[in-house]
Amino acid sequence: MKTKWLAGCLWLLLAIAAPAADQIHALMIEASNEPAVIDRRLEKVEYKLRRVFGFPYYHFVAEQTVMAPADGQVTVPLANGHRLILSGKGLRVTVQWFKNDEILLTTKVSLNKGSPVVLGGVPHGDGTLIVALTAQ
Amino acid sequence: MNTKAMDKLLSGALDGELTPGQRAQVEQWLANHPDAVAQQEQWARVGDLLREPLNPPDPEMEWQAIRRTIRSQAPAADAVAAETPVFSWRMAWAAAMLGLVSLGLYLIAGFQLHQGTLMAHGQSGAPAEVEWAESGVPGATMMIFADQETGMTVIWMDVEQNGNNDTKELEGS
Repeated sequence: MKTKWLAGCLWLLLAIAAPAADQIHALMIEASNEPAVIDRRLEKVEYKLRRVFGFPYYHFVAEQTVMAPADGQVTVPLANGHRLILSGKGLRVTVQWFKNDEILLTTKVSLNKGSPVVLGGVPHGDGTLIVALTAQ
Repeated sequence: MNTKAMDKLLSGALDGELTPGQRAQVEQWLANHPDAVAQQEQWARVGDLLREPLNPPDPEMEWQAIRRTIRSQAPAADAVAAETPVFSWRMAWAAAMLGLVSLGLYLIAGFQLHQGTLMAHGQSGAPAEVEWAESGVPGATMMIFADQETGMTVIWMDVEQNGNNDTKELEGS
């Protein structure tokens, strides 16, 4: 009886303390000088982008949330032929940014929750494409 | 001697009222008549039953017996209670474990709430670490920098700066 009670308590503690599976949120934005309406989908990141970059306006393009790769590869489809391929384990991933079959950028990063990694500089129209990766 | 007279003698023998001569007659009769022996034994049993004193149950006596039984058992119950203290080691152990679990839950919930509050206010933890970055666009240069104020790590591919044809290809796509 005592053992069962102790096991139950430990199970409860572990269930609560166990970290949820990591997710990675990818938010594709076009930064430009063309005015845009305020988009609530950008409210968590737009003010940060405005502090760092010189663009006055930011347009929502696409977003995806995927599970962090578990020692494998995860594809993050975005928009207009753009996609990311995340490979690695957990939040330490190699990120490949593709436009159709053309690779634009490759980087290896260790994501930390709440600290976005912003990939950018890909020209698009009169603006520039940005992808903000955030571990959740 | 006829049967009726012998019955009187048999009855008198059971009551101890015979003379020695009559007792000798009865013994001789019984020796020759086994059925008379059975009859005398039956009378003796009936006589025993009749001589037993009638003792109807006394309610007061019954209640006294019940009270005596209760009193005799009461000390035993007290002894059992005395051997089982209210705050036993088992209860102390359970209370300690419950307190430990509660403390653990409190600390975990507090930590998670703290983390959630930080993220809700846009405060971030340690910035992400960039091990390396390279551009797939020929001639483009890479910039990596961390902005401490926003907690963002920026990996920027500067294509336009070079003014090469790759920029146009990307724009046209």
